[in-house]
Amino acid sequence: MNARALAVVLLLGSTVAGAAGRPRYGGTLRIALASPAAQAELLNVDRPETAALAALVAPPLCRLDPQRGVIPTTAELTHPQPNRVQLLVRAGGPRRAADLAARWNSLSQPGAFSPYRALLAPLRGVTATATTIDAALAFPWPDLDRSLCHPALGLADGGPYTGPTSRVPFSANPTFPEGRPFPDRLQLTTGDERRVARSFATRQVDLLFGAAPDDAQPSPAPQTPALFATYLVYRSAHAGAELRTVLEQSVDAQDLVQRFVTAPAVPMTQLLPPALMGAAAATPAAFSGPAPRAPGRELTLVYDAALDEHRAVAERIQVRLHDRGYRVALKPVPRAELASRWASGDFDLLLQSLLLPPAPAAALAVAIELAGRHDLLAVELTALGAVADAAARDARARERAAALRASLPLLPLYARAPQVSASSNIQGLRTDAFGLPMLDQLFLTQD
Amino acid sequence: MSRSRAGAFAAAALLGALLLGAAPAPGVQGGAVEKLALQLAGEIAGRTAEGPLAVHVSSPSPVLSRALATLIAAELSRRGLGGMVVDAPDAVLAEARARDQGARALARVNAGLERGALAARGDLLGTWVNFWSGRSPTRPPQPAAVLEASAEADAHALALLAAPVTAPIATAVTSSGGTTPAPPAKVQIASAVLAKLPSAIMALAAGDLDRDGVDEVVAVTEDEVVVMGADGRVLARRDTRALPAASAPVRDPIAAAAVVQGQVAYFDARKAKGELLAYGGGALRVVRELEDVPLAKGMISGRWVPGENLVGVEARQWNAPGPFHSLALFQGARTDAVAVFPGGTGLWVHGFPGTGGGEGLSGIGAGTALFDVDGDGTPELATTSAAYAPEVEELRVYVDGPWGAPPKWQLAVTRGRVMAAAAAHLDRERAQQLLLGTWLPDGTSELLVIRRVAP
Repeated sequence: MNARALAVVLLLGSTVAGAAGRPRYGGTLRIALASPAAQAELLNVDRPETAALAALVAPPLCRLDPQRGVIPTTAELTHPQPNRVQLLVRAGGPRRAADLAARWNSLSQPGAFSPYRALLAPLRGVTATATTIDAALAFPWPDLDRSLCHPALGLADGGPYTGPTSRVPFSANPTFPEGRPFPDRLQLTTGDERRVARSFATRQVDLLFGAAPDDAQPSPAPQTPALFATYLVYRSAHAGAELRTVLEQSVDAQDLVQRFVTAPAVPMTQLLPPALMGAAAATPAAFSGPAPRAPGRELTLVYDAALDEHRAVAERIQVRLHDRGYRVALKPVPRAELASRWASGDFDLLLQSLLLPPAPAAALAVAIELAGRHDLLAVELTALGAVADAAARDARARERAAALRASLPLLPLYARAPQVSASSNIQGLRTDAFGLPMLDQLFLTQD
Repeated sequence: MSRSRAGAFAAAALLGALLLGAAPAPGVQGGAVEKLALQLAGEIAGRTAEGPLAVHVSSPSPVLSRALATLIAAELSRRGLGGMVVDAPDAVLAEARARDQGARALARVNAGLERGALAARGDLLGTWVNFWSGRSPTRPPQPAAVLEASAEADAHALALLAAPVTAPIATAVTSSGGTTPAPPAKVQIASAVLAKLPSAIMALAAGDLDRDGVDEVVAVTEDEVVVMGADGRVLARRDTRALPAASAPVRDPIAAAAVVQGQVAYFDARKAKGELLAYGGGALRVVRELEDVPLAKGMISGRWVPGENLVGVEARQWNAPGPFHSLALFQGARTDAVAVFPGGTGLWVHGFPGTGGGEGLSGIGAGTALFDVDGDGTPELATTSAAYAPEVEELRVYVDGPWGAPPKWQLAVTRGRVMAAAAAHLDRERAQQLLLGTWLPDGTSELLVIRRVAP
């Protein structure tokens, strides 16, 4: 711990609720982010470093509190009939409800570029009327409430902060339905890890994302649910039937976590992260049998060019597969192209990170979608949705995740949680059930 | 009626109320004293098969001792074990008296408050006189057991514990000097849960709404206004969810509430307007809407700062240093007020509103109020932690004096964070009680009552 900087690395426990002193309004909250400066990257909900920031301008529809469950924020879901749902959008006007319905409809199309479309899979005929969105349920899906709190399904704007522009930092939005955030402004700086860590140590920033403070030891294990899951997706038709065995035998998730992945992270031995699998997260039986070799076989591994971590992981996989006779070409591509290639199946190997919802059934749906098994999705979700009891449904989803692990064309690699440090003049830092720090709840104890 | 007689009457009424409900069927939930009695009777009955069984209870309060002993004996009789109460100044003498009364066994327990729970510990011993032992007071081998039980303290339990100090603890000083003021009795404070509410308590107030001489409690939560009796029973509710929202939503749940001339005035910062409510016939009726925030029992009023948890007051009403979170009033021989400002600072004003300033305070929390805990006519300042989320929430009570002296009383709040406070007269005593509204992590809240108890 860096006592020199008077900083506190917060264990983002989610048990503290409420307050004994009242939050203070005013001031500028200064955040440093270890990230490329590209503006589009700052709203990437697939990365632990940026997902919480994205929620500041593009808010989720609800907040999923670890203890209180679903708390409506910008919208409220009701079930007027057993097979219909209605969403009242509180933020903005009719345009925003219409925009949201259009986004959802676009996301629900078979060719949509996002695995998060699985979260909307039960919905049919999404329409908007004034501030209300109506949809039919193709089958019972009790986890819809929790699923709709996912940051990827939220509004495009109208969050607790507006901006930023080239001249003005993020500004508190006085009309946000939950109330304006406590600081007047939020100033965001980006840079490499060393630079932002130094800014934090010298108290030039109040909050540090994606880097450890100087002298601090990275936490070996996540203190919050690690739900940012990274998978290696492959196309058997391109890569050969024996590839699964090769990947299972050569790619070491523990090795990746220890050497190439930003802490805090955990290896994934099951289809879903340990935070979702619970006691069912036993390591599956190792792949046995002779190690196949494919002398001279050529494959291309595509990954997000903006993510250094994915580059490091891709290079490691390249080395390990080379030992087994594969010649793997690495192809960094822009994020949009990565999504397009995934949607069209234009890849041999593909690295993809996702924020899984903290509900095993919904997370399983996203993993199945990522694997491209649309045929399986309806079957599994219909069966899971029929289990009314939440605990029994979660248990059933874990069983199905364990059963499907080896049959889906993807290899679970690791799961990460956000790395956040806050200075001692920051109060109110809590995490939601996604493990994301709720930045709009923060306030400064002094200017 | 003299205050001591009134106190005895109140204790007797409480005891009567307990006895009326004293023979619940197994599994029926009662108050803390009843729960404790049921637990102890169950333990005793499980360890001995033959009556009659004598019960001796000691505690800081004779009234509580008698109530608990009565309930245990009644439950033992209900189980066919012939319960009897042994009245003795201590547990040693109780054994001899139990023998004299022909009891086969004696349960001796000591009860008291421990960390917010009403706890009892003791033993069970055989008192059957062995003819062959002659005059030697030998004990039979059975029964012999350790007894232990506890139940979360409630307002009834606290009232019973407080009963011994219903006598005057300070006498008025006459200007002629003919009467020497009696030294104040030792006073301790304790807390108990008065009520649990389904959403966060934003403001508290107390006042005599039904003119019976005892205050009713008013809690303004995120969803409703609740009026409760001194025992925590809900008397009336008003659902406030349908009221129009304020033009600028407020993130921090906060409200102001006061009882003004027997009516409830409140203003939730998240709503466009406040309301003045009349209580009667078990219901709350809207008298009129309020444009201003009622403060200091209606002495002054203010306006919410749009979108924030602060209320501002015009200088012609009170020359406050700036907008504040809350303002608590004490009306006695002198009118005092304490305001809570951002950053854990405050101002204690003697002779409110006055023209001068007041004494600056620091390190005070959202749960701040003035109340007369010892009934001496001058207010004590009660406050909670100024930290946003302290490891352990703590109530501190300061006597009137230069700020910076250590608190006279400290009390840990076992769960939740205190976010509202108000003084109340929940009985006809001169001393006041303190109400605290705590927020729990699950979004619900508890209403605690703090009162003096016997040392």
